[in-house]
Amino acid sequence: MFGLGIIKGLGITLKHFVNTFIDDLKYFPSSTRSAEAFARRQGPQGAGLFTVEYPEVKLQPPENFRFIPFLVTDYDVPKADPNFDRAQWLEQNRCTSCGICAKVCPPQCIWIVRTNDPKTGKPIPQPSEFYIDTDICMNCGYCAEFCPFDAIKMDHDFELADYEREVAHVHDLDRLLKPVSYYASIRPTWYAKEEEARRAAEEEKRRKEEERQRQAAEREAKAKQEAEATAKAAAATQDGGEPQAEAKPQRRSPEEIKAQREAMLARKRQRADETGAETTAAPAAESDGSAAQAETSPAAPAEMVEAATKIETATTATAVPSQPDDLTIIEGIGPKISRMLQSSGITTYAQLAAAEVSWLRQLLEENNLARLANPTTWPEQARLAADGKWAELKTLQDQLQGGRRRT
Amino acid sequence: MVTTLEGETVVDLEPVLGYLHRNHEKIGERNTWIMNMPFTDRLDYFNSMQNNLGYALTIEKLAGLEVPERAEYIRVIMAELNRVFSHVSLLGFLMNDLGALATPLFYAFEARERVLDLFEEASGSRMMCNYMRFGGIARDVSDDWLKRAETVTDTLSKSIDEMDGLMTGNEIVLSRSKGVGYLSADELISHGVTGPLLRAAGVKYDIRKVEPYSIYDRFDFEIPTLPDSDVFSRFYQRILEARESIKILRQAFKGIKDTQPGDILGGKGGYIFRMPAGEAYARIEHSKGELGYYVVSNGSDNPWRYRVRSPSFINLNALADMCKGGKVADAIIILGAIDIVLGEVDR
Repeated sequence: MFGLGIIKGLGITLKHFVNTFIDDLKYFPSSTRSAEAFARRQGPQGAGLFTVEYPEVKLQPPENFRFIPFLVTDYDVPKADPNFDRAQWLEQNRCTSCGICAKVCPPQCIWIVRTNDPKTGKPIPQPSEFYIDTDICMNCGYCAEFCPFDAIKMDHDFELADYEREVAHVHDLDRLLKPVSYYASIRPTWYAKEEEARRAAEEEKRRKEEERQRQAAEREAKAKQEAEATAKAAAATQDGGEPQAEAKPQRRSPEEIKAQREAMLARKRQRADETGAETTAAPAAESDGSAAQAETSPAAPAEMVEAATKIETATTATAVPSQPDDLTIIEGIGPKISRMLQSSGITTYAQLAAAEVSWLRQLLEENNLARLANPTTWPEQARLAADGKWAELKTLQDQLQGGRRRT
Repeated sequence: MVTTLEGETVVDLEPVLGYLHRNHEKIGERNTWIMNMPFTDRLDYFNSMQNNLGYALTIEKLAGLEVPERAEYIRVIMAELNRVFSHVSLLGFLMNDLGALATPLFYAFEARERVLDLFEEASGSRMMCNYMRFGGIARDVSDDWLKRAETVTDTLSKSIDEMDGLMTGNEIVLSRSKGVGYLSADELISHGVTGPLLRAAGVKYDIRKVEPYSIYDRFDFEIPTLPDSDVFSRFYQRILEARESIKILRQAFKGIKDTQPGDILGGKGGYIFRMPAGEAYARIEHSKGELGYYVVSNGSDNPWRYRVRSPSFINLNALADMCKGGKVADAIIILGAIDIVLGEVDR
């Protein structure tokens, strides 16, 4: 009979139509909002109305969902928190600006500027600028996949609509950095897996380090014996032996150099942890964080440490502290820096007034605090304080911003 | 399409291309080998898993990479799920062209959504999956995922039956599509047409059987053919093929249970691939026909030549001959039945 096929087809649509109402009745009255009903409809054997009423009801993206990368910082204080320290936030960024993400990015939408030590010109493992043009980004996830430091990850936040389409779509460090707790919340299993891998790697490293130290100790003992032996031989023959004995300990094996570097990195990390615990330091310096970051360095090169310790000992030798002053009165000095100054022998205003700015700056860098403050005006302020000119100090400080002159 | 008409009859027809051209192949020569993978998603954006598979196979052929067993199974599962929803959505689109506005299309999209949810969970993205890697896949799927995929396969099977019941017997569909757009098998072959179009003309040609790639030689499935070579048989051909895909899927879900979870990537992985100098062409049976990638390497970081043989583009060649002598309204459904995706036509 002609038309039978049409009727049969209409029967199927009718079945669909009725089914949605049966489903609605089952979860009456909250059929559109109930989580159970929602899960059933969207599930693999879904029945009932499949449509999602979007702004009211949202689908939960699965853990692997990827959309627009972000950078992970280990500094875990939300931006709204009063104790939020921008310098820490930037510094504990996991990114080392190695540039693999930029290299592997298919549409080439990542732009990284490395930080260079302003004095030595050596690169510092921190990006001073990091941009992702989200208009170009194709959400392929390669940057996250190939990042060796787990520093860049794909986000879940897909509601990015705005009224502007030039500047806001190029995400900078401020927009890209997100705390590690956020990452853990959107990708719990990934996070757990990575943390486990990191712990295992650290364990392995520690074990190797111990092994290396043991070996180094053995080698040293052996070298000493040899040196003694050669010295004896030199004493016997009176020529030739000495230069050899000198040359030997100077040549360092690659393992030793590596061990030294790792020890330095460990020290740096330890310092970073210490500063991480200290959140009240120099609140005024926060606003200048990015500027300070570009011109200063977080890491102190090894040779500078040596030089600085010499100066340090020199200052402590001359310092005869009578009565320690409250150095935090000086604008730009917080409790942390004040402690640092005290430990290097500066306890009074007079001493600080006599200090060289360049030496102060170096001291800050060694203590990894260079980002927090700029010492240019400290001696000047300290001179006024030492002379008891409090009113003048007050007017000077009113002109300053975070301990430095406004430009 | 530029169409010359005489009344309502099509005298001549010429597809005008290039509006979506975006230098895919030239960009592919700038890109490093692995960078091309997410770009292949954008060819036929309905079949990104199959596009990935084709490209991965080509590079594996060039570099001589081994693919672990589990990765092969997951690849087949992804490709077949993709084929099923691609065919089912075509049915919806075709009915839309015929004037059955929205209802069949929405049913098709409901089936498609469930597969896309699976893809999203496995690869991270619904359509632009970027899931295959040279020597395997990007990440493993969980047992829970496999279980759900099995259930979705059952649901898909049901929705194929439903689409069949909804439209195949419908007298309006029959009268609009039977005998429309006929082109003989010889002519189709001379145009280079492949895929369901060719099989709907009675030619039993399927690369999964002719030149088995991946692990397709292990599965027991038929190549359905229909003799008529008109719009209706092209339509019905898709239903038959989707059912065969369901058969493959069920076998694959059984087979994957014997594989080692986590063993998903052969070769070194990573992002740097130094290919040996040489050339390779690998082809797969894509939902729309033979999808082939041809790459020439001179041993550097990126392809010296990168070419895509896209089925949509080549199948479109036959459009003019199919439409000539027919009515204007028929030209629409003939085009619909060829099943082109313009992302692939223009590249």
